[in-house]
Amino acid sequence: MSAPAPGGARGGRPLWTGLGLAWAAAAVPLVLATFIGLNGWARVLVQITGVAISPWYTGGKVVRVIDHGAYRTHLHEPVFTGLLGPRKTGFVQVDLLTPEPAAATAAGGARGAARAAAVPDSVHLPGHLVESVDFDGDGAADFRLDVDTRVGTARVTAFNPRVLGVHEIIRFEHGLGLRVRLRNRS
Amino acid sequence: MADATLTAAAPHTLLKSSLLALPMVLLSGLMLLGGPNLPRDPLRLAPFLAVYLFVNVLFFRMLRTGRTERYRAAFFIPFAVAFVISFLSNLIEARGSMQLTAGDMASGRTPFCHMVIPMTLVPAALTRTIIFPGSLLRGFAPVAGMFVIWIGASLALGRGFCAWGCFFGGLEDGFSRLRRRPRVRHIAKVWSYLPYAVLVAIVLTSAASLTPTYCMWLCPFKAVTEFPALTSTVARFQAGIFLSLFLGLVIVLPVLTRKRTQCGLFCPFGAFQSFTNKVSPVDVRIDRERCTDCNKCVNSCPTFSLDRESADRGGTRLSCCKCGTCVDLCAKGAASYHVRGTPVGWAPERARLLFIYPAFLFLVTFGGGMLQEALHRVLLLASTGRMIR
Amino acid sequence: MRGLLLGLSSGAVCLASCAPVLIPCLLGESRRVRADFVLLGIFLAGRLAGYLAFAVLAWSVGALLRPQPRTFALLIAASYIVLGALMVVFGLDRPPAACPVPAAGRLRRWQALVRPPLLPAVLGLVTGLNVCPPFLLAFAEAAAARTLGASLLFFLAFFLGTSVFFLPFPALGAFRASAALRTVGRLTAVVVGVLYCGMGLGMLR
Repeated sequence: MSAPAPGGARGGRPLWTGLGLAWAAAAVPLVLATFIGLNGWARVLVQITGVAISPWYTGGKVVRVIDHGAYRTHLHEPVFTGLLGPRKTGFVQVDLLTPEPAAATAAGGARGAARAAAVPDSVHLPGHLVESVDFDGDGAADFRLDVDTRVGTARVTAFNPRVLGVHEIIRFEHGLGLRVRLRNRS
Repeated sequence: MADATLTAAAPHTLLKSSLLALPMVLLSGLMLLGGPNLPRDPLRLAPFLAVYLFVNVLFFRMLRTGRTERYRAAFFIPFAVAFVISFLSNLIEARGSMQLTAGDMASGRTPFCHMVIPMTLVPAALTRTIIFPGSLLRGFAPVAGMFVIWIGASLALGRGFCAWGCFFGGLEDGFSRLRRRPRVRHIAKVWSYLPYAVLVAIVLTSAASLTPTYCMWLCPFKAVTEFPALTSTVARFQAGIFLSLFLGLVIVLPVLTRKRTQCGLFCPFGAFQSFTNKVSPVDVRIDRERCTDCNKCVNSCPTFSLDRESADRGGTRLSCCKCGTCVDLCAKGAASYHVRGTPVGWAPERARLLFIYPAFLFLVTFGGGMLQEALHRVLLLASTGRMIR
Repeated sequence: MRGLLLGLSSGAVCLASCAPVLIPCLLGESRRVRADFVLLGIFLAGRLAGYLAFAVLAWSVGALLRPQPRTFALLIAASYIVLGALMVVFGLDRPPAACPVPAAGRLRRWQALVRPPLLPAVLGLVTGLNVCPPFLLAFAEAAAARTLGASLLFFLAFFLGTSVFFLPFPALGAFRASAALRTVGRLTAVVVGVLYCGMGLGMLR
């Protein structure tokens, strides 16, 4: 799969030789620039491409935060992203988070966060939560979540036929995330 | 790597080797330190000095002896071991476990690995999203940072990344050297196409499912990094696959064949990276006027990148990772590094220098930090009885 | 008309889902663009047969056939495994000539007996039954159709709408000169098959 050099097995053309040597010599500055300017190049790359982490992992953008005092509800926008168009089914993520990190996290920084992760903050959430969610912004509740935060289980009562059921429950450091399966509008 | 003794290329004199090594002495110090100041903590200073001395001795020997492969491997293999030590230590320190939970993924705390790159490109082009549960710019091994390193490595080294940069490759490189002679000598050429098949399969299935299917089902290195929490039958089944592939492709087959079987017969990133050989400035050529068709290069190539047909055409297959094995082995000097655009056989030592300088610098920069971190952990263990802070 | 429009809007989804099956077939099997059109036609015919057969079955029994979610999930899982196994059979149809393992010769004789002549059709059939997301839609629509004819017409129009998106695939036949690509195509089929088997087994939990 490798072609002989231009100009025959032993012959060569000065222009190509010069260009090749220059290209090879540029490899050292290229390696240096890669590592020395790494953070800067990374930011430029993200800006130019405009990419983001897939919402299938992040849960999508947070569109509303409701402060209940003892905890906060973060409602994400519904996720239906597909490769060549939106998918027929997706989910909406609802996070139930404590408003402040646990004391151990605040005091211990990264190590505190590790210790906090070993004792999830979901135990600091109220034991039983009921949350009515309007994900399409029409003013009417689309489903109701009944959440047992100690055990980490949830039941969904659907008021909108697009709601299909609980898809996944995620334990965060500071609470729970619930993904409810939805059918796409179209 | 080879059954026959490696033969020395033309070495440089002591003075010339010293002069040629001087820029590396300065650059390696700069890149290993990451700044102008020496570490104050003795448990950091000692690893830095050890690694600094080690890499410069290796590079000096590379110049002095005219040999490439053994000194490359002398850093590449410890680099892989150091990666496992430092990665796992950091992981357990941060998370308490090798297991990856849904919360970790949703929080973007998964370090990005270069193996994922081929799977992300089609979805990124069509949906402007990266199908990986990591972070773009923050944390350890962010996505954008690894992409930048990959682009730089591809332009400078091509698939040379697999021999001079991949922190997984050193594991099987090491295992492939345990026996003096191979037990399995012949592997059908058709299997050398499997990496490309795995590449196409994972690109298609990842695009269809918008999940990195290689990471979920086929990655052997999950056995030594992180893996989804074993909280379901599926997860345990997947873990069984990872462990089996690691044992088979990274340990057993390299020991039996004395080849890098994971790299040459399975790795889809290696297949993907082969195409970047078209844009890198240096490749390996066989000078047909010097070649005696002894087949030593064909038999010794660790990644199945040389066969009779390619050698007859005067070069390697697309998958060549420029490790230097065939170059060091060729008694007639027919196999050599070659700068694109120059005639075959033109100033081979100059071509070698033009390759090993950026390659070794990349290896030192990318791997030197991990080697320092691993030594630091070992010293921590020796002094405090704990490897984890 | 509704079926056709739905097919045109869903075709991209079908394309993404069917590509892991169709592309290895095209790469591994054929040598010319015209032959690739034939192969595509067989694949799509298999897919259509799957759709129509299920439309008849679902309509004829109606709501009574609507399976429990668990049973439905098991059916999907089983069809993933079947599809995966078929892909592996397709990929291994010509074992490597230089393979020293004596069993390869016996394997080749066995495969010559069991390999259906229209393997692409079977692949299309099974693809249409499981990995194609509109299959779920098909089930709901068929059970709700008033007449059998309406159900069949709906799916025929839907199939035509989705098939438009598959027309560029035979261009892969332009790679006719490369034996290496054909080898890659067959091996890809094996890998995709193994992945689908794994995914199917995962769904069986």
